[in-house]
Amino acid sequence: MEPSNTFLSETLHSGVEVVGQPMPGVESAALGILIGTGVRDEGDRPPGISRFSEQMMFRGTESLDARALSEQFDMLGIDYDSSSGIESTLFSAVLLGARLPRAADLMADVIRHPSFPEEALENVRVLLLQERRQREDKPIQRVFDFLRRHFFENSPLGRDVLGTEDSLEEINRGDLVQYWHERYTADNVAISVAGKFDWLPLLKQLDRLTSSWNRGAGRSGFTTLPPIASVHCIEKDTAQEHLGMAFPGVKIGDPRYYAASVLAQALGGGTNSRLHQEVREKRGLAYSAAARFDALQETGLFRLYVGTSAERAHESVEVVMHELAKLESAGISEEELRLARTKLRSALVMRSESTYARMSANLRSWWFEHRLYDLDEVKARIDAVTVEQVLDLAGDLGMTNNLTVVALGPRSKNELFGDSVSAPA
Amino acid sequence: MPVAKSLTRQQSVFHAHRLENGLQMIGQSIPGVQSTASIFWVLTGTRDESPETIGVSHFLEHMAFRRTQHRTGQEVDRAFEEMGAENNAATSKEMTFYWARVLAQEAPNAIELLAELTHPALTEEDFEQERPVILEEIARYEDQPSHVLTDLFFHDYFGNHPLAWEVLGTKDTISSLTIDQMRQYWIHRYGATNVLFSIAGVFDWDAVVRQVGSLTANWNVGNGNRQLFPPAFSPRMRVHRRDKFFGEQVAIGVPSVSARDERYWAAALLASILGDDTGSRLYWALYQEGLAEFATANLLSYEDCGSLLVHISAQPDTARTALEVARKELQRIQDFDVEQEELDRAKAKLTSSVIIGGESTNERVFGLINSWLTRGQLETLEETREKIDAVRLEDMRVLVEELPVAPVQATSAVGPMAAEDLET
Repeated sequence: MEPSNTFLSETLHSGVEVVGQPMPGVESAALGILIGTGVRDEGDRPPGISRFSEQMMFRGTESLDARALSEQFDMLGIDYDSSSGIESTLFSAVLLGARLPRAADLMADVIRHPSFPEEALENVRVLLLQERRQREDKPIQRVFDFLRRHFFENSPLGRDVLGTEDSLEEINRGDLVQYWHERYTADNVAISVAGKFDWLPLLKQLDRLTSSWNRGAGRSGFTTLPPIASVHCIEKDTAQEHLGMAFPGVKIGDPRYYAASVLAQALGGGTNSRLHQEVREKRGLAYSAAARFDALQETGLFRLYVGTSAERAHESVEVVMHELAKLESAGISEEELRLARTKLRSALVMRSESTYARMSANLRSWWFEHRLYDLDEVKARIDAVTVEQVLDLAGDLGMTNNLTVVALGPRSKNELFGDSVSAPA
Repeated sequence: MPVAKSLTRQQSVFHAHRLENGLQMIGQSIPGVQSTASIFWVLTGTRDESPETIGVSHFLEHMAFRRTQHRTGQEVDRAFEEMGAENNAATSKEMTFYWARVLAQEAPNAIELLAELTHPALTEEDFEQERPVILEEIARYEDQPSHVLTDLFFHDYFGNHPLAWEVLGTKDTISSLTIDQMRQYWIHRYGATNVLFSIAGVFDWDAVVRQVGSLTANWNVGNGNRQLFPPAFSPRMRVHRRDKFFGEQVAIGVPSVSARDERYWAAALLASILGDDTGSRLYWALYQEGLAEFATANLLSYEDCGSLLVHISAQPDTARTALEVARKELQRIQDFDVEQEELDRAKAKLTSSVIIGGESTNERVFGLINSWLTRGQLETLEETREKIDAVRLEDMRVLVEELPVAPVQATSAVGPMAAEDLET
């Protein structure tokens, strides 16, 4: 049985947009609410306010305190979560479809009527400060943090989601309420549901829940600046040298999106990829050697990670640089293209069996492209990628010239890179 | 628009079969999906090793991806790629598995390749090529404090028992391991009687039985007996100072039920009430209070023993208080102030995750193995739900009487703090 390709969409009276995809044969439903706000939208506000606000939402509403809220969620057997990122904030829940209406009520209460209680604010402040400090003990995550910061050096996209020690100390209730009031508005939100649900009653319910939702400035526009190539070395007494690299990708909706996905797959998408084969299988330089590609609203980036022994870190850098240069000048083979397509198609279909995955894929494509893709259309786009397109893309991106490199570990910049990476000082 | 009526993924059909060579096969057909997940599950892991060969199970699992009897490592990787597979292998204290999930039409190819992986070529050259990769994997985890804590905790808690040993081995054991030791280990542990095959999703069971039968026809029957002896519990506090870490990681462990114990669900619900990651007692007392950035309780259940493990991650300025509060929470459980509402919430969470998890072919294929190995039968999700629902407060009260969670505990800590700064 094919997963349903029935897509439903509706704009509520408040202006809130809702998309739905029924999935025959499942008992679960996934609900997602995307708020179009993230670290890049913080502007002159204290850094970290986006995450701080999101963390406060479950700490109490006008009618329920944090504990009552948590107990009600738990009684519904909901797996719920919230996360705030670079350009969006997501509230999600997966539960038995029959209980979806109760979950929608609760989620709406959380988002529409948070009370931002003072005592919880102090706890969240402490937790966020702890989380910042705890990152010192997470070298891989730190490499990716530094990588994004430097890759987007002059752009709000490079801001730290957790803010700074100072900003976390200074954020007060007024700041949070104002941020929520300005950013959590009816014209800056989308809702997605997938799985087992009754569409019309759900719409009626959501219409009621959002009827008094204020509008604001709407979605924020965004222009990005070109990334600046640079090399950074953080010397630290770790067991491994942790290497991260980033180079530009394409944005969401770019016609070359699937060529970029193929490129990432061939470079470092799995055990058959070039990085895995050259760095791990042939030379035993690392346990992890991988690459991935992420698209954002106005830009995109490829990221590579290799965790290698200090003694052999320089060799790892050379192997990776060599592979990037080869890919840039010669692209990929027909065989690699065929395998990458197979992998991407299969992953797409398998992901589509999950209500959460359908919900979040629909939410993202509706939010960023204002349309939904059925599986056949995505498959056709994957199949349309050619080796020429991948080669052109690799050339256009200027992979080796636009490279941001971060190394965290015992080795110095000179020991690691010598002349393998030439970048402006 | 109402959703069309059709068979749901929960309404499925079970299969079980034992091949002549002793290999056990189990399966579940799931309507309405397009993928099929399959696994060869070998009943061998770190606890089946010897002190000289710690880490051999895991190293052996890696060797499957270096060369099988018929394919080079690159051909293995490529074959999975050709199928568009999600695939992996993993090793733990008690098992080693080779798993793949593919679109249904590729399932026979996946099964063939997985069967091959259990019979690696084990050449000396491949062995030497893989050794540095294992050493890198060990180094990778040395940089992750929570993994360092887990390894230390197992040593402290299980003492001389094989469950104490690191799954990855140590730099010493991996550096001195020989290919002959690995071959011997493989011969002893990879016989057909020690292997379980499981499949979930879309497939023709008779065809699967024929295929696995012919793929494994010439396998050694083997002898899968595992040496079982109970670990001794040594309740002490051990503080391992590591100045290179910023945060303090603390583990508190007490004996709990084995995976086969009838009290398993009572223990699982108790662990959930104490420390699951939303709405539990530790969540409110430690996480929400800002005392720890992470505080959970988990049930670790093995074939013949088990442990309830509390894991706290805190900054040095709050770690001591966090540990005190966690101990208080364990004492409250021991004094048994658990209320019916808490139990009801824990049940709602657990049953709902069982039912929703059942929609995924991956979760089902592992769930089947779990139910077969621990209860000797395949359970429908509904049967599992009923067992969870049947747990009463009284069962949990009796459980903590029989297996106390306080005040006698084993505690391990790792981080920048000295014992006297953490000890209360």
